[in-house]
Amino acid sequence: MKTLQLFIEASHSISNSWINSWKDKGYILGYFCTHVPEEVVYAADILPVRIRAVGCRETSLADAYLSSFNCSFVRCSLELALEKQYHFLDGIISCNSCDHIRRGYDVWKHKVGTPFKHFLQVPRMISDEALEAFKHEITVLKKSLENYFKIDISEEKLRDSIMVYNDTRKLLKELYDMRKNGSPKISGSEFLSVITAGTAIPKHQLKLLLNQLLNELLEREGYSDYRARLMIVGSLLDAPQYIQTIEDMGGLVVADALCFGSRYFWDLVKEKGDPISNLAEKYLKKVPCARMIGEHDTRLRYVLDTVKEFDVEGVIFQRMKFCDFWGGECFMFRRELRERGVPFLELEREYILSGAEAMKTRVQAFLESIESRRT
Amino acid sequence: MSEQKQKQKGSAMIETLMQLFNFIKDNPIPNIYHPEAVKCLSSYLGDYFNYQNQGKKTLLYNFCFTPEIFYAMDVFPLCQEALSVGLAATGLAMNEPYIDIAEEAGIPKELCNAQKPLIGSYLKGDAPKPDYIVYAAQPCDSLNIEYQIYDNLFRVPSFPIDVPYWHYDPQSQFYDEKTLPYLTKQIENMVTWLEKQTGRELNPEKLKEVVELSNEAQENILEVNELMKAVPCPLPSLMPFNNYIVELTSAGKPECVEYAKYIRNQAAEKVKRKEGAIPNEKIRAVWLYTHVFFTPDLFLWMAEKFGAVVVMDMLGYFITKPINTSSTEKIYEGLAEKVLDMPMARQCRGPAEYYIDDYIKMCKEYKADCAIFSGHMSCKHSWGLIKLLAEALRKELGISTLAFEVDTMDSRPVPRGNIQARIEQFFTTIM
Repeated sequence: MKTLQLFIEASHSISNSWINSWKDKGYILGYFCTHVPEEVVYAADILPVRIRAVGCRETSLADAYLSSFNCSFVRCSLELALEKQYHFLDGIISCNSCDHIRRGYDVWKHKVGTPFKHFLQVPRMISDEALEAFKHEITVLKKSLENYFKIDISEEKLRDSIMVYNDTRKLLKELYDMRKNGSPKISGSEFLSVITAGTAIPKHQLKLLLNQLLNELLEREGYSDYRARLMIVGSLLDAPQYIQTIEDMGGLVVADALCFGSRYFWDLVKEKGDPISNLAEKYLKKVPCARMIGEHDTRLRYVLDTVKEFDVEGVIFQRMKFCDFWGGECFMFRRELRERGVPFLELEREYILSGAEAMKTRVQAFLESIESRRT
Repeated sequence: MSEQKQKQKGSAMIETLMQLFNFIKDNPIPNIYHPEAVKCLSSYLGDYFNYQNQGKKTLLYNFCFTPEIFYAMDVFPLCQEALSVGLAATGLAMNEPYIDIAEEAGIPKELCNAQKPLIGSYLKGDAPKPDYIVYAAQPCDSLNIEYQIYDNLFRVPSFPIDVPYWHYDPQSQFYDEKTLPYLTKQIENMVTWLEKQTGRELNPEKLKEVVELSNEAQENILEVNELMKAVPCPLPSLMPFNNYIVELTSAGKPECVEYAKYIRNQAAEKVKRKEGAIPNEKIRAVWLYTHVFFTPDLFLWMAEKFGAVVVMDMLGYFITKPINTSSTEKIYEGLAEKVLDMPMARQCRGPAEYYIDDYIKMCKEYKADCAIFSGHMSCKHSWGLIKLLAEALRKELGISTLAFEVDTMDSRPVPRGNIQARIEQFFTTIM
């Protein structure tokens, strides 16, 4: 499993060998959130890298500006930026995903010396007006990149970028679907490693790597010695070791509704027609994050469909402390899944993982409750 | 529980609040509750029953929206946060039991307690179940998700409004030409939606009449806000907020105009006489956030002990422009501007600069000696910029900021004594 190992290693760090090679010849931009249309950046021959905070151990620098009421992912990301660990970035793109990211960006803008800074307003609703507004925002982003980096993002470049991104999404979907059967070829923690590493690998190379991985996995014997098939839902999660803790106890994570997960690759961008309109449509109408207002029923339907399709026996809803959106969603999901007889476990966590023993106790009890349902 | 029973019990909750306001109206405590504001709020809550008795519908809306359209469409606009603030401001810990019920049911602690009591009271069977919900998705994530929980629990028709991040003013560095049309269109759509729900068309003449009343009140409040800049400050610390809550609930009603004129005249007379709200004004503070609602006499203590007066606060800084009523389209556009400029939303919905620039201006114009941030624990967006703001106030104006944690709706996490201790230490240091 040589390729899988490459992904696993790359997922442990915010930088990697692909970033280092790219830096020799071109620009790199960091971005928060899956609502940022990476294709526009990539079409400018700039490498978009999703902001993560892996490796962060404490947040003393970030805490000088943010507070203990702010989400630990944002505090950790800012910490790494203030420690200059994101020195390789030539720019940063943020959006109004949530209040924490908004304010994290405000501080980043004022206190971190990243040269190019851009904020993308993403509508919180799906409507014709919102779609128009988002098209306008993506056009502004495109112009902003063109002006700052003195480049031209041609329609052809955009189409090529959309195609390569779609290709990687299809491959990720293929990989994801390998978890449907009784003996999944890839575990939940391994899959999360692939996704997280993939957000910092140029998509042309990612495409090759995913093809290699799919071939290697064909030879692999699947996982069959597990106690229950689980789905993981909720706030941003980019820590494979978190899922590993669950899997070490016998719960195999076979599906998810995470932004570092199926919500990242589920929807494709239309390849025919106006590329900006197509990007706006995809990034607005994709499987919705909890930030999207009035879309709770869509999220619920997505989870219920997945439960059925992947033969899920229990849903783990993990939420980052102080994440309002997923906190509120959790309240609704708990009632609605239990009403439908789907076992549900809620876990609260911080970005820097701690309290593994308490978590293990709860997961153990959850797995037992699922097992007892079978008898 | 049947719908009728739920409605009756919910009315009982509002009735309790109204009875308390009526009691205060009949037994004034003028240093804490301004009699004219109490009169207006009492009338507002009374109207809830008047509308119900006439078989009219109730619409729940949030504090970052404005009620004129609802009055024009003869639907009672029930401002949710006016209830939770009202319950807190009685000083009788009336929100707390409802907060506990909501949290026991699984609502996370960190969600805002300005919205949580309605969830708890609904789960208990005490809440008024509205006929419709309209909410502007500002100023925070917590409000957004809690209104979606209302949707989920009540299952009544609702209309969310997406409020843009960018500015509508071409003079702003954050201007975007799509901001105003995007919001205006949503307001138009909301009217169409409400017409469909109620089966009645909006009468443009009625809307104009209501908005003109709202404008008249606002013109007076804008004058009051100017008069508050005088040294000594003519009106007590609670007044800007009182003005806000009256306008928030009653903009477009004749009572609101009467109130605003009365306050304006009172302020003007006092400025003319050079008479301050407190006898010996020593400290002028700008309150960078919402009041600590559960302890309405805090400002009285600050005045008596330190000669401190709060010259302006976040919610009192209600500086929306009067609306152009020359056509219905212009009215919608003016209402959209108003929504973008609603207190708190105005500062919190966009980049940190909206917040910081407003307070630098406010502290300068109101000649503040210091600033106080009573940071409501669930306002993550404000906690995410208070250090940038304090730094800017120090650099630009040389004034100090006190920032402390509090739950403005719940007296338990940070009790009054702790808040007083922080303020005392701060004032003792800067005096």
